[in-house]
Amino acid sequence: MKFSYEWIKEFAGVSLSADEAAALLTAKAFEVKEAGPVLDIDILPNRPDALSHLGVAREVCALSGQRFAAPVYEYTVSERPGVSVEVRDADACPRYSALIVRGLTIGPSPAWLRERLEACGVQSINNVVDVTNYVMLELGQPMHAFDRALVDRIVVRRAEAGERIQALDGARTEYTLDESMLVIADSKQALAIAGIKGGAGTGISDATTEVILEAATFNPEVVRAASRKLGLRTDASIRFSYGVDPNLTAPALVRAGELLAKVAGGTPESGIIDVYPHPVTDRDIMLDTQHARGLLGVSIGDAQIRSILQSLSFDVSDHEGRMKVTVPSRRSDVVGAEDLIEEIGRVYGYDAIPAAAPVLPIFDTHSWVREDVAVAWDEYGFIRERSAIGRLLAGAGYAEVYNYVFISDELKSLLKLEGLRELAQPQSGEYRWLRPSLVPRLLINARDNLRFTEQVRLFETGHTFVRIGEGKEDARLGIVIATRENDSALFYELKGAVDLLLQRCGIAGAYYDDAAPFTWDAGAVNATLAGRQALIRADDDTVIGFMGAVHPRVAAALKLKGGAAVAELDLRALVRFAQEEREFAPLPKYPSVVRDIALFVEQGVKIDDIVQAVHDADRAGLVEDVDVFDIFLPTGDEKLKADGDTPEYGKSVAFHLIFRSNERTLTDKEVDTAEAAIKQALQENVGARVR
Amino acid sequence: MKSQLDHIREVALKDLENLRSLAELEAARVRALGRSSELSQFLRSLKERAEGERRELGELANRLRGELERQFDGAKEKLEDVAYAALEKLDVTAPALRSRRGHIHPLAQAQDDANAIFASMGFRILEGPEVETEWANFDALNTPPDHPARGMQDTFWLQGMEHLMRTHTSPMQVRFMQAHQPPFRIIVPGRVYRNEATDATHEFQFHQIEGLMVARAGEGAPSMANLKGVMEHFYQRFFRDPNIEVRFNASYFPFVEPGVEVYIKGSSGKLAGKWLEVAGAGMVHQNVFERVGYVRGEMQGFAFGMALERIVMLKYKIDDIRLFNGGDLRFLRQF
Repeated sequence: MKFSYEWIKEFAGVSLSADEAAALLTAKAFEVKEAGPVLDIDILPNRPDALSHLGVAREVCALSGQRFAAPVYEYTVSERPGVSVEVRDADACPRYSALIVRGLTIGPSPAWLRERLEACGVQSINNVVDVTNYVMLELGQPMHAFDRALVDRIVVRRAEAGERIQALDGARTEYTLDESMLVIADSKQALAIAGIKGGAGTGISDATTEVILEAATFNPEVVRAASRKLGLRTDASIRFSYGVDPNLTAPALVRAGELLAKVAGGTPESGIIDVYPHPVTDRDIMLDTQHARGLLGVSIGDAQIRSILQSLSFDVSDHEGRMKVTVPSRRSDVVGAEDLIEEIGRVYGYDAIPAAAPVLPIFDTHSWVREDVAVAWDEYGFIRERSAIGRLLAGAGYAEVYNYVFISDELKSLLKLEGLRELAQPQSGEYRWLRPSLVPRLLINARDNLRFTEQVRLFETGHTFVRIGEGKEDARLGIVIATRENDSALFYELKGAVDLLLQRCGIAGAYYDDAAPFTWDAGAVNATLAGRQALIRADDDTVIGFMGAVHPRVAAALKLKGGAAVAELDLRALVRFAQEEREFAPLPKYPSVVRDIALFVEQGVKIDDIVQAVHDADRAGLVEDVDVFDIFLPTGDEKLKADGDTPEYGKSVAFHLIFRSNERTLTDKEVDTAEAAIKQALQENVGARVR
Repeated sequence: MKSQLDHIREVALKDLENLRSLAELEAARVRALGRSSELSQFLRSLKERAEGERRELGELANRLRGELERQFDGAKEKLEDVAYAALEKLDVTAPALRSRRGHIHPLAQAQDDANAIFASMGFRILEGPEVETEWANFDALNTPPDHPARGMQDTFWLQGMEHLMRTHTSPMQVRFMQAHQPPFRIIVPGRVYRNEATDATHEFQFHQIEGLMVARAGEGAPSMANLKGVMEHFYQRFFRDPNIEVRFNASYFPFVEPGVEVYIKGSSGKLAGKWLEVAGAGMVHQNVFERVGYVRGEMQGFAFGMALERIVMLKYKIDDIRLFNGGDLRFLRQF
């Protein structure tokens, strides 16, 4: 809001320059966005008292230690009102005051008046309208002038549904009202939208000689709601939305009458018309000055506290060892002791508050009061493990991304996602749905990065929103790997990263389960291709995650040229395993014996089947590890060359068998026996032909 | 007998002088020190001699053996050095074989740093839900019922209007206080959402770090001076600049009273020479204490909320906030 500093100085009589005043206001009251002869000040929403030159002047005086002399406007209430005023909704209009001014000559305003209005960004209309605006800028009370000749009475009432009014603006814009809105009407029609805009029919014209000046107080919520619904913000509605002091109407009318006499030759009636059923009075607040010192952390004395409060025009008296502070009604923001302490603090100067280390026990000894509430959050232990997992992936070549948590209409339909949470008013279809999985946006990241890099390895951690409002949100880790060439090795490279994580988290015996259907979110499952998908399970079958190679149709639709594989893991499960107790395994005392086995099996035989057959056949428990080092899938001619005489064998597998005992050095004979049993079992149980 | 040892010594040293290869050296070593060398035979023959003589000659012979071993080792090293010197020299300026390296997002790095700093001050670190209720996000935090921030223009509501994307991390203040009695100190890092148009300095999704320190009112309870102390300590350590100063400007947030904006000024980089706004803060409003179940007036404490993006942008001189959510490796690889 714009303020003329020369006008402020007229009240304050201060010696500060405009820039000094601006700096002072910014530090201790309101941010001054532009300094200079016209100050642009962001008045805080709890300070309606400062929406005027008088208010800012009062503030500048208090902050600079200058004494402030407020102008006094005496008034009387007319015994025989010159117009009948009826307020039908006192909640919406706590006070309605009016003053009749006669004998006016409408014309342009004098230069000093026009200049002040224009400095504050208000257009000059004519002397009467200009006076109402001038008083608003000066005292903070929005006003309106009705042509007395065109108004038979004043009724403040709710609008009727569909009631129309033409606004007092150049275009005579028509507004359609509803019952939530308040209007000023006469016996025939609505004359103004209360607190927002006057109507065209009863405004000031060149022929006007007598006016009803309105200075009223309207409920901020009513004005705010109507202003929002009508899309109409005016200088008046802004002030009423903040909340205007009801005790300001009478002084404003007196001041306006005075000015109209001066600039339009008018004669105000001697008394004002006033409907004010429940006068708002000044407020008493008790202040314990020790509390003020404790809250601010400064050793300010009682005398200084008293003088600061007085500088704000608050009355201070002693009351049973405490201060009784009487706060004027215009300071609607000051209702409790802490509000007074804020006044003391900012006038005293926040710069004078020292930076002091807190003195508290080095650990908290609080007691639980409601454990049911605490289920919604994660603690530092989880956060640290998550960081460690991130660092592990970064060490393995993956870069961390942060994505928007909203996914697009396009991704939703491409991945056939149902039951997603939807924003009521999204910015666009690109960001409409809460993500059920990290995978969809990771695929977009992969595609975008493939434009300028050959290989993409990314990961992200974050919440997904399938379950909301019931304790913790799901915390996930998503990983994507993509290259310009489609290659099934991508799946295995990603599997390597997942294995690394599982090891890191101490999840021994995890396995990859390819039995559909997959109990994982469709956002990941539907992005991948059947036959190249697996659930990742712990050895107790707990589902830890899911991974798969991207579906060619999804890749094509996203214009992801090349291949990609994705994984998504349950971060809390990973962390839970990582935090389990662990015990070290003693170092081996005896040497191992390694034997290599190569065999042919049918294509459908899984590595897991082979490994399982080895362990089943190892009755003496001598096999420490089965380390597969080569898998070869012959195709076409290669198939014949690799195994001409047994075409039914489609896959060659070679592995190291590592034998070891914890009790003795194994003899060749023992190992030979075990190896022979294993070979035989492989032939019998997985149909292997040992090469 | 001694002259025999002298002779052995002479022959061996002479042999050493004319060596040109490691193979020749090995042959000479076997001649001088091997099982069938004259020295070995000499040592074996000692057992037939009288005790006194045996001891004296044995000592001499072993000393000679040690000397010759050292000589041969030295000669071997010299020959090896010649061979090593002939090995191909590496062009140390040639490009390396690339090791793959990943990257931690700059916001995650900064968050880890901030967490560690606050943890060192005894703060407990918590992360809460991003979808919240109107009660926790607004009502409990003393936001007036018709405050514009509640509207769809400012806040992302979910269909059904029962939930919203939290607009700040402050609802975790409410949740934590509902479950705990002071004293405590916590920070709550996390993602927050505002329905606003994006540009280089505005995002509809960003991160905050919420802080809250509360104790029973009275002597030693957290004050505004302590708030300033904690802010100063944090920013000095975060930016590794011990000259950072903190100042408060008066402001208004419904859930604190007094409420301030926190500004910092440092001595280098983007922080030098001017005051930059980095956080909102204040003393927790008694209405908030009352709403979470404390008795009005019994507790005292401060709260603050800072935008993580803001301080990370200052730290690295990043000029566009949208880069954080862009997923662009050309950006991420720089961290």
